[in-house]
Amino acid sequence: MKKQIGNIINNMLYLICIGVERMKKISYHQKVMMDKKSKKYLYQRTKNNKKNKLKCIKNEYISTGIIKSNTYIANAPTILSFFHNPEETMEFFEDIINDTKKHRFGRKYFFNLSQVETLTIDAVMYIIAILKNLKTTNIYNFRFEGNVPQNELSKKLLDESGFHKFVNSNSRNVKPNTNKIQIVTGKLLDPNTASEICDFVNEICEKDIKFTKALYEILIELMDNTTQHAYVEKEDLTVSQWYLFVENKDNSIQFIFLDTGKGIPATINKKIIVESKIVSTIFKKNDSEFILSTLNGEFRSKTKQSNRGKGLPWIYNHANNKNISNFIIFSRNGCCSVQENNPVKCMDYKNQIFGTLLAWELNKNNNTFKEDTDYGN
Amino acid sequence: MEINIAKDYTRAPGGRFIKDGPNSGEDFRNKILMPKYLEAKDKKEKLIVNLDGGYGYATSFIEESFGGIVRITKDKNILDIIEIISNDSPAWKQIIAQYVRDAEKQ
Repeated sequence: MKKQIGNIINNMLYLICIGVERMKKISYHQKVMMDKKSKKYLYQRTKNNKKNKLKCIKNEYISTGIIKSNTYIANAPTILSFFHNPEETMEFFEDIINDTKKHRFGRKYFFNLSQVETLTIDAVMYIIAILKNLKTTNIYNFRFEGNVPQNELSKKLLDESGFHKFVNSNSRNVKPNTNKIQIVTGKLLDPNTASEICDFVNEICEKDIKFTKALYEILIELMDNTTQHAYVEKEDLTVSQWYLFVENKDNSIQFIFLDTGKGIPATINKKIIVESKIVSTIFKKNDSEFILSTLNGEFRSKTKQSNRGKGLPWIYNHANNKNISNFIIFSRNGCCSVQENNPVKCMDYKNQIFGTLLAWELNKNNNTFKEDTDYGN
Repeated sequence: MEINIAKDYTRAPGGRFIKDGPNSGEDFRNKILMPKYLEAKDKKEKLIVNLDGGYGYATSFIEESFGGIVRITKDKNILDIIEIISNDSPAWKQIIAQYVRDAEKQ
């Protein structure tokens, strides 16, 4: 009996030893193979999953017919102008900008301008602003391409605007027209550009430097607003920059100014939230009401000090004093305009413009600007 | 003592701070206005600042130049020492006076 138990124990020990021995062999040789196989297997499985996912996304895009591969085709309306066709023009640009927020890496945006029959400089400026000022362009490697209008007048306007300076273009470089100052841009305040524009105006109107004092001050104030009064935050879409264009027309000289900052209503809303700690929806105003309030000097958009923020009220004052005419301002969803002999008109649109767009005209027959301008006080 | 901004500094003044761009109010104050003001104050003379002859001024340039003097020196009534000449745009005299009063309150 004792012998049998002993034999059983011995056999069990023997088996255990063999098992261990075998396990050792397996763990050294096969374990390595098994490890590699499992990593490879995992890698392959992950790769296949990704491939399948991309395939599904691609199929979805192709099947909807809206987007093929990674290209967004933006078809411009026949009237591409904030001044003459604000709603459709805003919608056109807003759709593009909203698509950029989806952050599709390597996305190509094609501006199809071929069907544009009426084009104005404000829209051209905005195209340039999208090409140049979107913060996400370099991060997501966006590419922008496009064509020119088939309509001769629109094409000529595009050529003479200076648009081709900002893009790699197949179009020939058009010599600057002496009746225009082509689109200029900057991030900082540029008194040299402002003085050159004043010289341009004085030459046309055959006046001296005193004639354009108010104009110079308006230009400097607007550039200053771009640098001073735009809240700069991480989630802002665009880098703050100004664009300016001047054109000598029959009886007047037209100025168009674009600021790609946050826009007036958003800047004021921020101020309300930050300073009064009250949710802005309680005091919700339309964007045009915010703009009008700013023009009346009711809000100081960035700083608390009363000595700042006089720019837009000051310009509005010049419009009311008839030193400048056909003054119009767009910001976000709102628009305010002061037309000749009419009270200020405000409108709100379904779509919005990012930043602030202004235009006004200087009557060539103005002999002098009225003295003692209020300067927004 | 006299400063003519257009002749002594620039015909095309800029904005408020040096970081905002060239020909700023801060730069003008540092280089020209403040030294002359302190000199006039020491000698108990009038400092005449002539705004005429240039393209024009941004409000921020003017405020930083004159309001800045008040903020830095903490002096009251700097306009007892500084006399403003602005025949092209007489409104600037009142505006500068307002800026100085506002700066004194800060």
